Amino acid sequence: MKENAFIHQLKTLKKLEPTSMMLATIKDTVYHSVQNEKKQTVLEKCGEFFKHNFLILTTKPMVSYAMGIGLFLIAFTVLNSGSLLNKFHNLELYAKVEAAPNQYLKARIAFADTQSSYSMKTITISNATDFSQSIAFSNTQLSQLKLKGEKGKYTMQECRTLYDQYIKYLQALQNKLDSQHENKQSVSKLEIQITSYKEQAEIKVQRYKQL
Amino acid sequence: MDSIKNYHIFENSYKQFAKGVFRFIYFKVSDYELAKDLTADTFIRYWKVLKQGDEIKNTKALTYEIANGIVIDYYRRKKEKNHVSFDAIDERLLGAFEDLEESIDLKKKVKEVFVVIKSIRKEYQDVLLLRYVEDLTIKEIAQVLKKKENATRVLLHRALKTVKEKL
Repeated sequence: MKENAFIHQLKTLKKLEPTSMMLATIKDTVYHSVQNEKKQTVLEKCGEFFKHNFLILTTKPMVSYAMGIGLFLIAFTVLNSGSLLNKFHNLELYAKVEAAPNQYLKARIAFADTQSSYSMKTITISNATDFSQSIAFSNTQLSQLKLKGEKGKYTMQECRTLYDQYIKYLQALQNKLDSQHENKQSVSKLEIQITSYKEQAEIKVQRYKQL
Repeated sequence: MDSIKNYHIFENSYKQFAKGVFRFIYFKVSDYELAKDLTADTFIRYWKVLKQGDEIKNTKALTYEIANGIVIDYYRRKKEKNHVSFDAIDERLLGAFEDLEESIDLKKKVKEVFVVIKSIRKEYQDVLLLRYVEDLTIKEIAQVLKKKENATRVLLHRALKTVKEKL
């Protein structure tokens, strides 16, 4: 093979490309990470705001009383609303996940939260959106696990066990939705979402055999 | 406004370079799943660089520069020498080829190329892959490999000379 022929042959490597599904998964991972960072920035800014205004509140008691009553009224209204309560729960969950030292623990926390929040409930139109967000969050955390594990953080076996549990959970959910005849239409999007996650998880588990 | 501008730059860069970056990393680590993780890490770091607000002269060179750094960090963490072992191409990389004969032919060609590539120095491999597979200019390769343009030109010349001797 001559030098020019070799260069020509090198150029054929351009034809090797990842699948579009793989590119979409990578993009999903990147955007999720970027969004998490944005959430953190908002929380940091709130923290700075309160820190900055704390001095004003301590020097002007009337202002602080008025703010206290205002905050109490807001909290009262908020606690009477289910979906807002759920938002508080989510904030707490995001904070826990963010604080976890490695991806395996992040995935476990997110998945455990989804299981404990929704496994016993009948999924209806009123909680389908919240559940969809919860399972999407768990799925993103799980998809960011590195198949081979990470040295000193988690092992391949731990990853696989978690994935097996996740697939069983998704299977149970699929069965539950199949048997649920009421609200069938309202949860059809959820059914598609769960099927797609289950397929993704099964593909990932299949790859363990190649390792 | 800046964040919208950054978002557009990021979107365009992802569309244009994700495939190439994935391929470049795959050639360096020879593991499809690992290449996926490291490509994601590359674009997460790229986003962080965009957010810093420094002027970016060449997005392509920057993306590959980050990818190269990510792979170097990976091998440093693993305390392993960077290697390209290429006994088999992952079938998923041949997904675009519906024609079975075409993909068999391609596999054969890729193997032939890699027998030669495997036998040369790592920096020669990098310069050849960046120049002829990823179509980077000498200036861009110099940025990726953190070398001067003249030194990069010499490196490419020597890489080709080495290849010629091996053929």
